[in-house]
Amino acid sequence: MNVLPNMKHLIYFLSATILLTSCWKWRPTPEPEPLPPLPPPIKVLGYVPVYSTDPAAYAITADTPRAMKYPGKIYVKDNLIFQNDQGFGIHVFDKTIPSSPKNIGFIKLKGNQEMSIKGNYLYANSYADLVVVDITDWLHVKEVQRIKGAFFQGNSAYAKNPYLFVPPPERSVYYQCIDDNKGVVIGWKPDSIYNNTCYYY
Amino acid sequence: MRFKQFVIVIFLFVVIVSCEKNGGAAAEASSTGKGGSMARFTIAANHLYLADYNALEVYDISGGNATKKASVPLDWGVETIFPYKDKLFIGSTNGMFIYSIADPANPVKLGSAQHVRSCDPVVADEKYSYVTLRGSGQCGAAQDGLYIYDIKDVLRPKQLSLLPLQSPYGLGLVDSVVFVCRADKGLTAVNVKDPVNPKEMYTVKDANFLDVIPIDQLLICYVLDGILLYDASDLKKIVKLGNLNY
Repeated sequence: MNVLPNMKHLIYFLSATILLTSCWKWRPTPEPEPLPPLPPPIKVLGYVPVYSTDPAAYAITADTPRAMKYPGKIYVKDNLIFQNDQGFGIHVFDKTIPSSPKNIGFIKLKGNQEMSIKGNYLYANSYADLVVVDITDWLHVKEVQRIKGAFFQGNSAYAKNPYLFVPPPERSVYYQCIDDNKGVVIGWKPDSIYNNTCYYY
Repeated sequence: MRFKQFVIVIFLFVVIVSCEKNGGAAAEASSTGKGGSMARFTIAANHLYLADYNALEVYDISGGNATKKASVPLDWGVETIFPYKDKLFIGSTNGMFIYSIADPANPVKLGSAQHVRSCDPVVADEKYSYVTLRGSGQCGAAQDGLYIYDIKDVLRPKQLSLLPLQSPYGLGLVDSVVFVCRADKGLTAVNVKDPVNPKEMYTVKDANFLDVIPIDQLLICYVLDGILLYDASDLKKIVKLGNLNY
């Protein structure tokens, strides 16, 4: 009878030992495989930015109505609809007769993506600047104020791709990353580039 | 007799004063336009608010010119801003944030609702906010759909429901209907009268819909190749009015 408790203890001890050591590796683990090297960059058809250092790139003027190239955000005020043409300006449409809206004008505003209107003032961005434009007279709009570098300041620290004030002409393409020291981007041209570069989703 | 006259005078006075007040507010409102749900700029209470990537920039525009008032740091990934009365609803890839602009030059954070990383425009009314989340590629991993939050306790927004909807983009709210733009899947009208049980009403497939601005019983839709206008006087059946093709 005395043997039994000892046997029980022995069994417990052995079970515990087996359980605990089952986690041990009886053979040394092999070193993890080194990651495969990145494939060498290959040339693909993408876009390179066209830069300008001419201050005329920032000029804000009214222009004749024209076709939309890169449709962007919309805004409505009274009988007018405004639509951003990404990176190029703002189209103006008249919706007084909703069954036949009319294209009545265009505000040339390079680097534009956003807008808001109060009274006769249009608040918009021109690249990273905030601009205030007097739109009282459609045929002669006038820039009345420009605050340089007003926004999109934090993005370079966090964003994978910098904010594109003038985006590439199509999505899902590689593009040569923008070098702000070369001026502002006023357009893009297709080119064969290495694919270890920025990507426009 | 004198007392009755007195009461009538007081009554008329109150009516006149309150009518003037309403008139004033309406006048300010009509001099500002209306943006879509994907806007980064908005104007409220004579101030311009810019939803920058990780900050809310505030400008006083009461004189036309813009005077910088404040720069409120936000979590990164901010994309959209929507005003409703004395509040701003900010959509970012990480969540929805509510700010008070009771003091317009000084936005104060109220509540927030975090979500899985995704692209999310938001619109709101008195009691609820409506967010479309789209998880894809650059956007993130969330489940696509229309999410409704109870914001009666504005410090603690609470998710009430999720209506799964593929590829939602911008959205617009009219009465108890949310119009959700869904790119090539069309424009879906959702009945949100019972916010706990949103119900799909119908989907219009006339174009590839990206954003919508409901205004004056019309829907002004930003579609991939143009602008479409709908008569929305009967929300149960919107009627295509006109288009602008590029």
